[in-house]
Amino acid sequence: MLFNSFEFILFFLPLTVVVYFLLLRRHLTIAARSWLLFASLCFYSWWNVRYLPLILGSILFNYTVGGLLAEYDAGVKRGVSKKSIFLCGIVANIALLCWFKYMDFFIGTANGLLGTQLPFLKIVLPLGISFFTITQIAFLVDAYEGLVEERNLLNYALFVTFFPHLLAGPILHHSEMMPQFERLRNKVLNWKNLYLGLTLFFLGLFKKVVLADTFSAWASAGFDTTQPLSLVPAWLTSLSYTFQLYFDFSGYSDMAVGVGWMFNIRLPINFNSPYKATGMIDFWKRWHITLTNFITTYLYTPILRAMGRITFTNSLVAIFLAMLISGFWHGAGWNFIIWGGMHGAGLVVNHAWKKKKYKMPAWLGWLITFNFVNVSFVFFRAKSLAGGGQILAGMAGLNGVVLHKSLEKFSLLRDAGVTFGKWLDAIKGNDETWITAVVALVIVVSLKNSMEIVSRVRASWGWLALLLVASFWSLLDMSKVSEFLYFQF
Amino acid sequence: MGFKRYTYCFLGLLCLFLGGNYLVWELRTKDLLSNTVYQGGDLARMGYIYASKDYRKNKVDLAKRHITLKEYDGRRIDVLTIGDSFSNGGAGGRNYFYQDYIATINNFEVLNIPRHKELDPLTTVSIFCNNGFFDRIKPKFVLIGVDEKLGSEFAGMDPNFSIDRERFATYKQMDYEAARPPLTFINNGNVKFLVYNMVYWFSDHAFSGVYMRKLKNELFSVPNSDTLLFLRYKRPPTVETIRSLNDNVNKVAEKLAAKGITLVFMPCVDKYNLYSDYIVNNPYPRSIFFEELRTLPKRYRFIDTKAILAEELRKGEKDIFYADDTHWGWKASKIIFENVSFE
Repeated sequence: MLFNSFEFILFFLPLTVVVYFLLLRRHLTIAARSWLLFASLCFYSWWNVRYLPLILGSILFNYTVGGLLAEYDAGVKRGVSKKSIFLCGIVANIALLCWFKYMDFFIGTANGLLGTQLPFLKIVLPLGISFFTITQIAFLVDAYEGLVEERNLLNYALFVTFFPHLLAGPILHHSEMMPQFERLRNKVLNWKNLYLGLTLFFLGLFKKVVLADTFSAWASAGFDTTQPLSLVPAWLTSLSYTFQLYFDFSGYSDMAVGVGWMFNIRLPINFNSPYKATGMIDFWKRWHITLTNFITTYLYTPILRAMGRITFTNSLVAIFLAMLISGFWHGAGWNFIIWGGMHGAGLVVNHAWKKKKYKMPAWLGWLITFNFVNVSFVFFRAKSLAGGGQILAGMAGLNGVVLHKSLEKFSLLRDAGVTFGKWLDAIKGNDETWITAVVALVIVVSLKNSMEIVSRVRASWGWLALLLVASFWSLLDMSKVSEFLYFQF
Repeated sequence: MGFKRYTYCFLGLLCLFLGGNYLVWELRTKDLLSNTVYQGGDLARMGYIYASKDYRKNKVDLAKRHITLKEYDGRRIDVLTIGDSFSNGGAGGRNYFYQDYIATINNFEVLNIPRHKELDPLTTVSIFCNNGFFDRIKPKFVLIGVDEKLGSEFAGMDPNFSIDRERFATYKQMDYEAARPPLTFINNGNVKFLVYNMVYWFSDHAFSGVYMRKLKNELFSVPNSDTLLFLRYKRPPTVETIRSLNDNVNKVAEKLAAKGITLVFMPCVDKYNLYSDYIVNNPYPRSIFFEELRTLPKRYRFIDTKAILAEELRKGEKDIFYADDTHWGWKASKIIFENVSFE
């Protein structure tokens, strides 16, 4: 089930909230948590019930490994070392992810390098597997280091499956979430949290269905076209995807955090106006923040430790490797690895620059960072390296420049080799495309983000009006009418 | 007032909003926006004009039917057709493919081939001349049937444009039979329905793109019998444009003639163009497309759809075009192909 579906908004969410607090009101804490677990598993199974045993098996396995690790801390002696159990747990999780997500990539690479003809397995990627796997890897690492202990299967299963974060994060630590379920005041319906949660949820939904989906049409047309794109449509294609990705993912995170609030659970913030960043370090402090924390704690630090000596050069190598792995985690393809490598290189340059104490005007830093991120997302979205290269060639002007006919009167443009005509047809765009891109740029650079907006919400008619506009507009746009299906003259 | 009361306010207004959407959907927009009730009616759908709906279901009651490329089995083909929505049953309803009238009236084998995105039909025909497709099919006639607005765009095509089969295969085919995306009872069409129907009181297009003007006679058999719905020409064709398109069609006709194939060009008269003389106080310029094209030298067969259908209109024939659609109906197809000879 998706947050941006009517079945979630009109049935699942209200029912889950109401029953949860009714049970808590009768002091049935375990029943309330069981209900939440049941609801979360329904939420997961809605897509495909065949994968329910997969997530349940993964939970049981990791709970058992976590329990064994905790027993070592309690002084219980076993035939195998604590480290062996820990490594076994980590390898099993990575193997699960590799099987479902990366097998066809490995087969394709082997076929390419060795000239073999191994058939592809075409395994359907189970929803949320990347997220619930790394959530549990983090749990095992914390358990190994004695930072966390969970001896209650119901609590552990709820920690992994709690539906607001199950499919796309934010990536949670056990210690961040589970104590909140224990707090007495969190067991009572809090009207302020409910109202703020609703506001954040609908702001997120607005970002997803009104903003992101608008850009999605142009981005898809640009990335899917078989024809070479000229300068302007190539840039609008990449910018459309850059905005789509931000509004989509941050909107989803807002909805997740908002739903969490309705249950009095504070999920960590995932985005903090990343396109305002003036450097790559700054960008990763603002973009997918919980992933950045995960990479730092569970990839960068172990890699650096494994190198033996902590030097500046080693730390840069560790950053680069961690980002490379992070790229691969995002998707099984060379384009994702290139994307991760680009961000790794960007962070390395930024750290080196910082160490040298060079100065750069903030506006220039923003310009470089935004464009670097925008270019890197071309690889993130493209179906293949060649496809990404084609968009970049267009952005570099290698496929020529076509502008709107109204500019034909400027001889300077004509003399420069610019041609005039259907300038945005290739991305199914029109004047609305570039105007919307400019407006989006202004929004992401100069306006407050949704978390900042919600922090100012008070019980007043003005804020209620905002909530009504965001919710009604989003609900209407969730089912959009395509009147112009035959209007293709 | 605290958060509790504002939450109740929000939930109450949300319920009203959902209830309002349900009512509008059930009473009006479900009819206009979904395929469940009737097919066709693009103008009624785009303009949300309920009273112009002409209820119809797709059905064919002719003796002989055309075939599609998927159904082609190597048989002899008399007429191969290609075009836009006019050539792909865009209007829906009874005998919605004019190709079936060609097949039945002339006892012909008619093959309709799909249009490709990013390629106009004339360019596609030109490509088929070069890539061996016509040598394989060997039709006697190739008929290009397009809305006159798209026909005007042939002025800008390159009659020598050529690409190999591999590259041609990268162009996607247009799917005129694609089902409309399913809608739920909450959708932005409900709001557009309310807004457009209010604005039509003050504006003849309500910013919907669909123009609505009164007619001097009752020319349709729907509640809005004397109301014309139409799309305006963005840029009416000039004399130069029409001459240029004629040159291009002639050049492609020559390429076809060299293979022993006759090109038939059927620009489908635009709805506004056909009915413009019947509009009360018509403020919009008339199209000179047919008047100019008629006079030019041709090396192809020209079907003057405007002349044929205008004559029927003068006789008072109703429903030549569907009241709710940009496309003509079965009556127009029948009249045209009873007047056209393929000898």
